[in-house]
Parts: sequence; structure tokens; C-alpha cells
Amino acid sequence: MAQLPEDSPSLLSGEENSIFGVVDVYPKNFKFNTQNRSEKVYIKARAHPFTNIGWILRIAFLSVLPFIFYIIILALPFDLHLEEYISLYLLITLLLLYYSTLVTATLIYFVDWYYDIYIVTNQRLLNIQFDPLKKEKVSETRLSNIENVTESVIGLWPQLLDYGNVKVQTAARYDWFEFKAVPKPTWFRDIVMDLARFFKSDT
Amino acid sequence: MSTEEVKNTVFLIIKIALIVYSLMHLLIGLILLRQLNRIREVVRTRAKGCIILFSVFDVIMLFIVFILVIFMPIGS
Repeated sequence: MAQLPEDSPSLLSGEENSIFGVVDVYPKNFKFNTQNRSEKVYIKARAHPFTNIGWILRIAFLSVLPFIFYIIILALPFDLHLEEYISLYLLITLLLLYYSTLVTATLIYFVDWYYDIYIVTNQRLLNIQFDPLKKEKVSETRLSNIENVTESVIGLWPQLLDYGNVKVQTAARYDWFEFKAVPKPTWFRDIVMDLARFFKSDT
Repeated sequence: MSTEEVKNTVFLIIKIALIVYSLMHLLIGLILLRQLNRIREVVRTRAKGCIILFSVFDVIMLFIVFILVIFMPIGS
């Protein structure tokens, strides 16, 4: 299988490795289990970090909610005598249960984003989707099978922060891949199409 | 039924509900840890150790909560 020359300025240049490893060109310390010996990872990408803002705000609000309740109870003009109904033991247990739920939710949300990975190698295009407790899906197509690549940036935030969906259509009639919320979708679309063209001309 | 008996019954119902909830939660934590262990074999990234550590911390926390709920005294 052909590989890009190490100093290939025309294809994979002009892109630095970004913060949080969202778009990594020639990623270091990265491997996947079905990687062949001669296979070289060119790009590893994830959805834009901004897509996490919803759950981060939700978790942050829920984390301070018990304190808000506590302040409201303190501010009441009369005493509720809560200690008569709820023991300290029960209160601590309930709080621990509440915060452990938040910790699990944070882990699930983070892993859901972190392990949705788009990989471009010198042989194929992989889309690894991992939804904790729900599904694990790995789709792949050969670079030489790629026919069309469509980019769509829809909405205010995607336009402001430069991320969008990239749809890759393969030679199979109804088969296509969708990479959601890819950072710098124009660059990504261009690279995928250039690589597909390069490896098609090589075969 | 006296007020004290009603109170104890309510506490017993709360305790059973908490036991069921924390047990389910503990199971979810363990399933998540197992899944993460699997997915880290599929893709080996830099942060895999941190994520597994966080997951282990989560399971330990859930286990402590479960124990606390089990030994929770009935009544205020």
C-alpha cells in the first residue's frame, strides 16, 4: 500500500495538532486494534469540544443545586426544623448518592464524546462510535472507494466556531459515512478528497 | 397505627428505594468500567489511564454509598 511521502506539503500541511486532541495530524501515542502493520494514521479527529457545552452547564448547575437549596432554607424567615425529619446520616447518604450520580453522568457524557473518533489512515477511513451503555459501532471504508464528500455547517455556533458535519459517500449505492461536528470541516473535506484522489490514482 | 410506626414505615420504604437505586447505580458503574476496559483496547489513546482511574473512583464511591444505604438506621 502506498504512503504519502514524509514531506508531503500539498496534502497534510498547514494544520497544527489542536488542543484536547480534537484534530491530530500524524497523532502520537495513538493506535487502534485493527491497525495493520503498514498502516499509518494520518488524521485522528473528534467532534468539536463546544458540543459538550450543554451537559457541562447542566452538570455545573446540578452540582450547585444543593447549595442553592441550603441558602434558600437559611434565608427563610421561619425555622423548618429539618433535623426532626432527616438525620445527619440520611442527609450525608443522600448527598453522596446525588453527587455519585453526577460523577457517573459526567463520565458517561465525557466518554461518549471522547471515544467517538474519526480516523483517516493511508488505507481507510474509520468512524468509531461509542455510546456508553448503549452501543459500540465501527464503520470503515477504503479511501479508494470514496466518491463524494459533502460538508455542511448549519447553525449559529457551528458558523461562529467553525465546525460542521462531513458526509462521505462511498462507491456502494446507498452507503455513506457521517462525521458529526468535525472541527474545520472545509479542511477535513478537502484532505479526505485529496487523499482519496491520491490513493485512487495510485491503484 | 401510631405516628412513630408511620414514620418508621416511611423510612423503611425510603431505605428500600435507596438500596434499589444505589444497587442499580453500582451495576451501571461496573458495566461502564467493563465497557471502558474494552473500548481502550479498540483505540489506544493518551488519556485512557485517567478515564479508567476516574471510572474506578466512581465505582468505589458508588460502593461506599451502597454500604451506607445498607447500614442506614431506620427512623430519625
